[in-house]
Amino acid sequence: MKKILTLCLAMLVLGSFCFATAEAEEYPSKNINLTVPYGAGGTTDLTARSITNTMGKELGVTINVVNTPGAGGSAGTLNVLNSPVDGYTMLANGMLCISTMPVNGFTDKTYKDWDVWIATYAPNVVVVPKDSPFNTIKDLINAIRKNPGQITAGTAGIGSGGHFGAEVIKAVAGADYKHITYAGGGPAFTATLAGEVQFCPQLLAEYKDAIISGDVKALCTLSTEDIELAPGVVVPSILNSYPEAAPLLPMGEVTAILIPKGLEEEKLQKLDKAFEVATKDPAFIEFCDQKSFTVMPMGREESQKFLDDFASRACYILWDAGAAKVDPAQFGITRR
Amino acid sequence: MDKKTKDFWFSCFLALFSLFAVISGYQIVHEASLPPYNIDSFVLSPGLLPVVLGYVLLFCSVILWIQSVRSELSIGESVRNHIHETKNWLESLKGNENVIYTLGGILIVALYTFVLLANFSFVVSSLIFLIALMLFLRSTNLWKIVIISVVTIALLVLLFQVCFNTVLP
Amino acid sequence: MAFEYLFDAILTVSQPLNIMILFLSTAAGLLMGMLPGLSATMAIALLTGLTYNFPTQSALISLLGVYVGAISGGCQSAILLNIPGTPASAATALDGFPMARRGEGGLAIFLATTSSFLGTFLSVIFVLTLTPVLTQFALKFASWEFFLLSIFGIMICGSITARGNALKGWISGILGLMVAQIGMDIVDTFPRYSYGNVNLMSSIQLIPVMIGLFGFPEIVKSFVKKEENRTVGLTRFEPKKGFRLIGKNIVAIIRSAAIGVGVGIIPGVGEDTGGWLSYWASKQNSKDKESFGKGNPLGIISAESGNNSCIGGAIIPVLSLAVPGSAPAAVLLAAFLMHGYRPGPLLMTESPSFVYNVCIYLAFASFAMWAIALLISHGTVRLLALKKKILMPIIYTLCVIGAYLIHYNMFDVKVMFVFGMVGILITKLDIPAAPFLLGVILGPMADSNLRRGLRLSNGSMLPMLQRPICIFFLLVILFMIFQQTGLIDLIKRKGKKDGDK
Repeated sequence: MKKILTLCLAMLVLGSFCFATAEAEEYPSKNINLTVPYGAGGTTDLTARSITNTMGKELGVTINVVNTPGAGGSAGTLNVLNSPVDGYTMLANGMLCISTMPVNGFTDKTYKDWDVWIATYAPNVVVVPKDSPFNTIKDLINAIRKNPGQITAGTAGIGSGGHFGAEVIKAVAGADYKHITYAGGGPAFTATLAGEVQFCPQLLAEYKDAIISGDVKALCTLSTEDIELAPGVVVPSILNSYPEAAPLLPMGEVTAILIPKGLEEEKLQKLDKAFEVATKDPAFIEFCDQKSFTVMPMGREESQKFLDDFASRACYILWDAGAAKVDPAQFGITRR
Repeated sequence: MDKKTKDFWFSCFLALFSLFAVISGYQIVHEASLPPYNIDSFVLSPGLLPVVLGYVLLFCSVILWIQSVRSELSIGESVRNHIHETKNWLESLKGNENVIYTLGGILIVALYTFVLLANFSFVVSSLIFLIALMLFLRSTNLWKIVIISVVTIALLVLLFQVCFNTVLP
Repeated sequence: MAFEYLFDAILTVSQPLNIMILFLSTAAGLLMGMLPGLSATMAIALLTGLTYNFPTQSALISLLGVYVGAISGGCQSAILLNIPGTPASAATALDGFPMARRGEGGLAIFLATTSSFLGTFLSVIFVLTLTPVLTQFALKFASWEFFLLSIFGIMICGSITARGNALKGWISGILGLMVAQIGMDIVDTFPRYSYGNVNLMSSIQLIPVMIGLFGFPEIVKSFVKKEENRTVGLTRFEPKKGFRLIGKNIVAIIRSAAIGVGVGIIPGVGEDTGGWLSYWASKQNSKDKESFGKGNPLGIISAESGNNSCIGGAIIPVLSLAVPGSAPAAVLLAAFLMHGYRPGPLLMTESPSFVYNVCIYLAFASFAMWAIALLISHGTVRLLALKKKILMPIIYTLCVIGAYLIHYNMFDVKVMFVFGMVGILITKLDIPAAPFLLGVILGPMADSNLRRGLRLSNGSMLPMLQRPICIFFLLVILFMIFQQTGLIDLIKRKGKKDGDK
């Protein structure tokens, strides 16, 4: 008995020394994993899938999309942060999540610790059930002002695109709403259809078809310009009615591909090129058009500049709403 | 071990666990009432379900405990009876070779899960694990074990890495 | 019009290339379903990447084939090893494994596969005929309904277990609910029982728990000095007897299919629950309740037709609302979108043929599944004759892969081991494991919907009594409490005594 046990343990130890030696080859030499920290079918997931398909072809490998939902996108993001920076683990995430993770107390790494390639922008849109008494954004804002804390807003959760949209509405109205959170954009959408919540400020892409078909009413978008969804179906910008919202706009989700800083410049340049080709791919552009995403490709430097402004806005919206755990100033994010 | 004796011990542990659930539930209620959550109302707190479930579990464990001692004459006597029976059961385990096999097997599985996989690639650690475990269980002779292990790992790699295009640990 | 589309779809699917793709992908789905830990969700997700560059119709065929295959494949490992291949087929193991031990493994697989086929097929008919009506039904489910549905599911815990002590079933179910409390809660994103660990914050995954609870005890059973010799007489398929049993229980199959479709339609509740509900319904309606859990063929038939009919049910809201009815359907929806379809309210005007294509492909996939499953089961039943000491270590490495692949995270593998220990403990203590799993499945739903409902009503429970579906659920739940605690028997007995007087 004992002999066998010793033999087993010896085997375990011996075998431990058998390393498969890694060969140095030109990057990329194997398939790349791209983590999407949300479930399949969401805005981030779809954008990531359609862009990485072309990127993979350009790089000559397959990019596997891995969905790791949990903890509002933080779990998957932290997993990527903790894995080795070898260029084979990438992340696709919304910038709202990335820029507010430090103030939510998940990590002390800010957007400055990532190499970021911004791909698309998807604006928020405020929708109400089709039998709602609100017909314009003014109706809604007036109702919130009259009944502070009583009008229900359905969103995909704290820190989601919808939550930021609702905070913009709150800032415009100067009065609070009642936040009802769902497990994601899908359930929030069903709740709006069923009339369980009074308004829903999620991303346009999730509602586009339902707005066109008239199953929900769109009151306004939080983009700076009006958006035409289909001939004759125009969603007005909130600026038309409330120009004072301008400093908070445009609000919406910006989706990007990210890698933690530390990858060799040579490899980064390869990714730069693949990204550039992918964002010009007609299939990708058509896909974005169909979903009403604005394609706004930005290289690494440009993205950082964009994020300086964007992160400050997002972090201070949360901080002012009392929903952040840590003061953004601690991370050198200043109010603009 | 007798069924009642099992119930007896289980209900004891369950009672302890449910106390933990209740206390930790109240802790959650307290933490959630602080900023940035600021949820003052108990019914809206994330601690609601842990507290409620904890109480229900406590109730269930009390009933189970009563069921486990009811048939005896007095409570004290039946508790002593249960303890006595457990001692006998533990005695009977001592000489039992199957227990050693089971515990040894679990130990190897644990080593594989926590030590080997954390340090080495899937292929290496699984190979070691398969050979070690089958040797330990004396499943068959050494050569067959090695062949079976190598073939299994090769098949798994083929299936997952080549066919399904996934990355193994 | 409709017939034209149907005919077109049949033409498309019967092209040789597509037939080949259909069979290949259904076989792949069956295989993934059979392997413990690889769920239908994962199977579709893996394939979505692979089929990205396929022609659209072929991609659709292969995705639906994998879906049907994966949901059905789980029954084989459930029956032969008592380790459900996917959470959906956990209910099948309750009666399937005892049958296999009796030496009727072949018959059990035949029944499971045939009822899977029938379940899928019936659900396709539902999709074709009732999509608009059923979509409205899905929208009737708001927070309170979801909450009561999950409570109803947990009450079932008391009666799905074999040896009758309802109390232990409930305890096990509540323990499962407690496990589901771990992690960031959906309503307030408050991290419960996480102790600062991000992996715990993203909550415990269902699949590692399932493998741990069901697989681990079976694996450890083989860790003995001398294997007990139970060479079960290898298992004829007895299709004649099988068909007779199916024919006899056709009512149960239709009932299970209807339940499955209903469960499938409701967003967020899917295959994992469907099997349990239809199993419970059959047990309730059976005269011979005692034989359930001891190898009653009806248990297998209803569980499998129930979980497979969820497929059609889950696809209904995908098509009509672009809201997935279950987790695999969510990935399927993503795949549809990737291939340029826009399921949702505009689907019928934009691409009216799509619904018919999906239905026909599903129907063909269920045929293919039936044929392939029966074919490969001739091989898989031989597993029974294999030496457990060789088989079980291999199964464990498979489980490790399955747990790892969920999120490409080692943490889930460790979770699996921990729940393995829990599984061994509770089986040794005669506590049923199935309710525990059901608790973990339904936990997040119960918790978040209860508190969402309370928040909507400012903390009042009253809305529960004002909604028709809620009242229905409340009555059923009350009935179950009385039944399981034996109160109903008491009343009946009393009534009889009074009558005698």
